[in-house]
Amino acid sequence: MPKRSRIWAWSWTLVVAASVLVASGVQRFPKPDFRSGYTVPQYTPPAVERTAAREWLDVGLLTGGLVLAGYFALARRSRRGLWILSVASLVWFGLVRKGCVCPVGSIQNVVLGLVSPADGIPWTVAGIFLLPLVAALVVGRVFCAGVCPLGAIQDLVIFRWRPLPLWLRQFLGMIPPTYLAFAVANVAVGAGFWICRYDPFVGLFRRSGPAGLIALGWILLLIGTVVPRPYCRFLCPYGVLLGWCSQLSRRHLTISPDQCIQCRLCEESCPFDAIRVPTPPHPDRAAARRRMVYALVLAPAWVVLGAVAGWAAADPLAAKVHPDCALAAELRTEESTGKKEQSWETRVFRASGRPLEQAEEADRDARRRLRRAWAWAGAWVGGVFAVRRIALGRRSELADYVPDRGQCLSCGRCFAYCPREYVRLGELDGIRGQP
Amino acid sequence: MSERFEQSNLSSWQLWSAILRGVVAGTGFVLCVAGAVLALACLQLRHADPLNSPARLEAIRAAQQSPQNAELVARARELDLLARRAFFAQQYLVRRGGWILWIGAALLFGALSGTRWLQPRVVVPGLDTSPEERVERERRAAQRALTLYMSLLVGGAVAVGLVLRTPAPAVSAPLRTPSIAGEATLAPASDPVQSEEPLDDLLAQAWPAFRGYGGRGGVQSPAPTRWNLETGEGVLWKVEVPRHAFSSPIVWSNFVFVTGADSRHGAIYCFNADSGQLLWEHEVRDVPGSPPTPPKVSEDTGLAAPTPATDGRRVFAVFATGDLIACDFSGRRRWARNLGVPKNPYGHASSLQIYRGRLIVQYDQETGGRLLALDPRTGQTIWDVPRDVKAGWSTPVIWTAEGRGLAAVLANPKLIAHDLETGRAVWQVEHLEAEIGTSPATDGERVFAGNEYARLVAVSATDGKELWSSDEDLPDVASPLAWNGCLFTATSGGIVTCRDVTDGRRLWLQEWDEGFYSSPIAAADAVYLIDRKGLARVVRAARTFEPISENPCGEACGATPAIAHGRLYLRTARFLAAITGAPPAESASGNTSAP
Amino acid sequence: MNAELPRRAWLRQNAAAVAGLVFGGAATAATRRAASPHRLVWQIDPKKCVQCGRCMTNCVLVPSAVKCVHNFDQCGYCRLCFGYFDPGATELTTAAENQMCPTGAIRRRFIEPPYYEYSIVEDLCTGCGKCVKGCTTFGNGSLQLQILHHRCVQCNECAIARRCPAQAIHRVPVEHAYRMKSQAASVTATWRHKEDGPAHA
Repeated sequence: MPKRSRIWAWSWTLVVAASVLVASGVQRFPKPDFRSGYTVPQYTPPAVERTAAREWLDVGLLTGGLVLAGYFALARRSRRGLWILSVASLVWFGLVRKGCVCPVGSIQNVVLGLVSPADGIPWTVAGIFLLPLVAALVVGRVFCAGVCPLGAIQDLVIFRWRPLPLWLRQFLGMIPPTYLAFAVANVAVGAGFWICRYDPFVGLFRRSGPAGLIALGWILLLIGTVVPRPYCRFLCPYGVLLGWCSQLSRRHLTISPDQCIQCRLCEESCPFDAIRVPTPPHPDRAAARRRMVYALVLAPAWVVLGAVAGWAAADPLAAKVHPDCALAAELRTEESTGKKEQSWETRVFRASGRPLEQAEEADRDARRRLRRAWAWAGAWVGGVFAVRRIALGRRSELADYVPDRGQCLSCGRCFAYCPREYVRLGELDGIRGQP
Repeated sequence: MSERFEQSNLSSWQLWSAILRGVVAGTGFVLCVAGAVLALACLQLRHADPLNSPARLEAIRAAQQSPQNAELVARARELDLLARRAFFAQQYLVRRGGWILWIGAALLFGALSGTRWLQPRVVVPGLDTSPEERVERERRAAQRALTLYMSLLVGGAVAVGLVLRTPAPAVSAPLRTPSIAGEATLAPASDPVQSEEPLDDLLAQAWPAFRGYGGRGGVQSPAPTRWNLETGEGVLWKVEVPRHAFSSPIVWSNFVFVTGADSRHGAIYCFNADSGQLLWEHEVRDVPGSPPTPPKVSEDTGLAAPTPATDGRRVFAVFATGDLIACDFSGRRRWARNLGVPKNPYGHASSLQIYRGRLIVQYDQETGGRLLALDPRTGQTIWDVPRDVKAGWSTPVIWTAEGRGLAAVLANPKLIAHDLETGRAVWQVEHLEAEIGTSPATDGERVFAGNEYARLVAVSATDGKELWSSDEDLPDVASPLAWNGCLFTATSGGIVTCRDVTDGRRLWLQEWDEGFYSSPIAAADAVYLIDRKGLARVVRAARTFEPISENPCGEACGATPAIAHGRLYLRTARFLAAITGAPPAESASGNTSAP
Repeated sequence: MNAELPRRAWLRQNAAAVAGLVFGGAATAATRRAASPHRLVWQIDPKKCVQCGRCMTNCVLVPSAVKCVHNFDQCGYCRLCFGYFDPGATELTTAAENQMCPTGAIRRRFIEPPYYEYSIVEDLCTGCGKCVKGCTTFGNGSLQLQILHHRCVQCNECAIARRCPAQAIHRVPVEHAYRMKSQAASVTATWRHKEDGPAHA
């Protein structure tokens, strides 16, 4: 043990003296009475930069952006307008506002507000969550094309692409609902905001953050040069909600300004494989119907399987997911090895004087809730799977080239591929063989 | 066709294209280098913190150990300066590096899009020979891919469940804190947190509610009888409670809970019973249905007059706003509800009781009074009995008869016994017309209830048959205590009376100058009487008057103390104190010989 | 086949209207239940803070938005400041080897015997909490860590809060954006039977 210095020894005497002072209920070292006329300065902490006006301004700008995006996509049919809008959004919502709170992350605030009303949902956050969904119900996913900074940064790097095969798109397309379900479940049990925690682009917007995530952001951008918008299509949990709303949208962007002439020029124009091509009638309708019945019958089984999977995975992963379980696991290790206070968490817990039973109870409680929440999440994923599988078997007979409402991001790239568009713009007089 | 398609043949555009390709290659290279440098800087910042580098720390230690050695001191300062420079340079690099990457990326991707713009790719689709089969094939493949995904998910989850399966807490030794030394009774026979079984056998040894478990007013084990809160003699600790209230402390394990309130918000405080350290406080806010402004209450009631209760897993508190809240022992809210703002001229003051997994709330008001039993886990109502009584400030007492729990609930104008299983009234005694401030008392066979301006009655606990009644020296704030075959009452005029429980015969009467608000309680054969000025008198719980000690508390006192694990927990106007009554001679010298 | 398309469109439009109504209704009901007028910001509760040092390293910003602030009102103006001097300091001078702060972010100014004023240079402070630990353990606790709101970007999930071992970081209403200890809340416990005094490793 190093020799204790004189001053430090003196400090111990002071502490002992101080404890006497403390006993009488005053500060350890009372504020001095200055004779030199010194006045004690008042510390005023820096003001909050994010004022209410600023937050409402963002809600206003989001609304304006959505209206503009809808106008560019449906009324003006201007890819250039959408592009400029998305760059402006990237600069404002991304680089200036640095990401938070965005509609993608606001899912979690809404869930948290619903499960524990004490936390509440600020009106601005509720607005940020709902506005893009409402816009999607009216005009489709214009938010993705024009306003979302996460989408804009990926859109800007698109270089060359090949259509992805349907099976790969369907496979990867199951990731967003899975991510959404488990992220929501985690918020509901108090295991944190996973969507924000693993947001790959917010670190780029802030120009700082965990190195691993920033690297992931750049890697996703590199992948995005040849697989357009990988995050939007194969990760974004908000995209699931937007997709549903867009499926039901009142109006939607169209490839042709008036009528499709089946020229097939737009077939590979969409980087996101969101164009539905005309499908011929099913060669064997009876077999298709049989398979459909089969899939319908199996659907509940998949829901149950999903629930079982969620339930089974929750317990072993609890210590990695929930802080209460992590603490109990650490305490248990310490108790069994006899090495106490190995981490700050256990040190703080032990210093609080709370009995170990409490950590045990919190752990048990968290596990119970996690198991339940994950079972629901798993069941939901199973349900989504069953619906998608059934949808694949269903063949609606389609004559024209139309955007797939759930997948189309309303970016407007296809406009330039449609000959009818040039007729509309007056650059072509007409098309041979067409009226 | 549009102009753009034709332009791609022009040679100047090919030149531009070549230039752009050059830009792409150049920026790509620069970007890779910049990225690598930055990644290194980030890694360094995370793993090689120059401020805590061993070299710097070592040099500083050396300089401190030999401050006369100018060379060592100079070296320490030099290394310190270098470390600071390195640290701030790293930070600068990381801050600026983000921008460098952005600018590089903008150049790179801009150039990339430029090359694409210059060489548009028009795909003239080939002829689809057999679309039916192609579509069918693709869809079957997609269905298989979906099934594969789901199978992987389910299979993966189940595999994780089987492979990573940690031994369940029930299998490995559950976490358990060794009980307080000398308190073998505290150690639970079975693990109490395993199940949600009521812990009433354990609660009976703690002090989980106003006047102890069931409101019986005493414990069988002895408690300290000599202390002095002014000098600190016999005091383990004494701390100030941040917010004042007239409620009393309760004790479970090594936690002491009290409530407090300012003019707007109530709060629950949890103290370590061994050290007096404030472990947590929970301010009651945002309870659904809570009134925006608290109701008017009189000065000597306050918002937090009811004493909290605990079931060994959670602590419950009710406030004059009607807010009822449950927190776990780490101070997190488990549930909260508002019972409706009580219509009460002075403010709600009835305390909570706990019995066999039921939280009992006496909620008497001018109209629409109720008696509720709530589920302590969720706060949901188990039963809710309307009460045809006036506003009151009394707390139920609970006893067990033939295996079922009964509560005697007193109000103006009657005393009613309820079955705690169903809430049904079992018997009732009428003609107790007065503003009721006292709670009933019981010795298991009889129930005693009385208030000034009414009368004091003793009734049979089984059928409510009146045994005796008296009109003399009636209590009005402090509740009676039935102990050792005697019934003790203390009035706010300063008269303490001891009566025989069987016939109400007065055994002794003592008159003091100061009156009593704090209810008498007992430990073994001692009765504790604390007057309003804060002088605690301990007398023998016997049929003859026999004083044991007089102990000053230093200031006014209206709360009823808690007795648990051989300690007395006392709440005075400002302070909460734990009293061990240990002879103080040893520890006084111990303080001065500290390191 | 042609008849099917308008029927589909009609079905979808009605479904959209119904979904919109249901969705809007549910959303309104939900927000009415949970909507809160409070705008919230992250802040450290100094009473819970244990000065683990993670505030310095876990913030998404470089440097961290957490800094030490000095509540002069609570300060004892000690000559031997437990936040300023390293435990090994041999002399009470401003020499680098005597200072606790690794970046020299605390300025010490003589007022009158025996009192000194201590103030924080915000740009130098790293938020490591070493001085706060000294001041809280042995002094009045006037030095405390706070999230400075002109730096904080208000991440939706605060990266420090997630790793805070004492769970000392919460969202607080913006009107009370700082949670500094006040004089009234200073320690009043009596530790009569605690001979060992404050623990120091």
